[in-house]
Amino acid sequence: MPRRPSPDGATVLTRRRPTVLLNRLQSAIGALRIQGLWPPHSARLGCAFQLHSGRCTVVWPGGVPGRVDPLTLTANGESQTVTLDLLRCRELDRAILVAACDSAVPWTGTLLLTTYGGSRVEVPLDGPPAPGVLVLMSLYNLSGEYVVRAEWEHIAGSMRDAATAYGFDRISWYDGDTAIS
Amino acid sequence: MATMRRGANVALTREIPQLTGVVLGVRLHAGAERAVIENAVVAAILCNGHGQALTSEHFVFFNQLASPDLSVTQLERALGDDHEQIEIDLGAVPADVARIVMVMYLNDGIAARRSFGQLRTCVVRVLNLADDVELVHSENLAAGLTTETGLALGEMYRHQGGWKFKVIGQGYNDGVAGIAKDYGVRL
Repeated sequence: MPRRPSPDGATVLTRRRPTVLLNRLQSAIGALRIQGLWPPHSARLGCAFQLHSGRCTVVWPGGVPGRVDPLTLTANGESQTVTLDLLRCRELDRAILVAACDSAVPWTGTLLLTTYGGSRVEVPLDGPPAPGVLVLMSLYNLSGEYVVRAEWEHIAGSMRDAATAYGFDRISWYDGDTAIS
Repeated sequence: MATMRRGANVALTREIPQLTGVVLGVRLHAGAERAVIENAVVAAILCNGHGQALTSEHFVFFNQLASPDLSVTQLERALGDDHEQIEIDLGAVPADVARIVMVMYLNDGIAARRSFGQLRTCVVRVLNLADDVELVHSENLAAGLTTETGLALGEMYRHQGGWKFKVIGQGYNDGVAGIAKDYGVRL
């Protein structure tokens, strides 16, 4: 049986148990909120995703608009949140959540996914300083149910390199951080 | 066709003994406020005798188009002028399902807050599954709605070996969360 999020409390993803499967209600009611919780100014959260239409794009601080339906990237104080409007869940095939971290400080914090009903899935962020970006989480739409997987894959490069490594290769880039389509 | 007020019920299978299935449809009209209709989600909840959903798999909506037993299904594309339609094969409904409640909510995603008070028309219809002939319809449930974001529209329920239909028309200010709480759906 696939692992489901705990209805009470948080489900922490680990290297031994890196995946959890949202049910059809958790995958389609309200919104999924994915929040980067880490020390101020230490990391930036972004997302590359592929729509069912085949279109790939990113929401990423600075480089692109913060909203590309059905995803929105918002920054509220020190908190950055990617929100997926689940009314349009069938439009999103897959996504990766990426953090670009300050290379001078240890990578520490949590990526927190919250369902409309309040179930929480946590991906702890813990590692030594390193240049580049960290792919923290992937989301796959598996016939109406989202598979959430912790990745923790360090990419010694840019957001463009991370997107390309995960097969989001239909994106046109102005530079390593700025998508133009 | 008879118009039913909130709270009214009709013994469908007593009036039409050959009735084997029904289609529950909902008609919506919001004038220029198209967004409220675009964000409205219709669902059916298969409940036990205590009015509680059997499981989360017994919440039938656009991302779960059929109940596990296939007795209740949602059409991906409603026929005619209905916004959504749900088909019920009465003979295939499991014995532990006592009522099937049709609900509607506004998805609380990233769009601006809206409410069903923006609706001009909200009418529930019951059609004969065999020939799509309308059997009954509700009064306009939009009248009197203000800040509601959830609505229990109507229900099919077992009664003396047959099935009755009742117009509910109860609003919720907390959308699908309130509906889920009342009907025991774990979100």
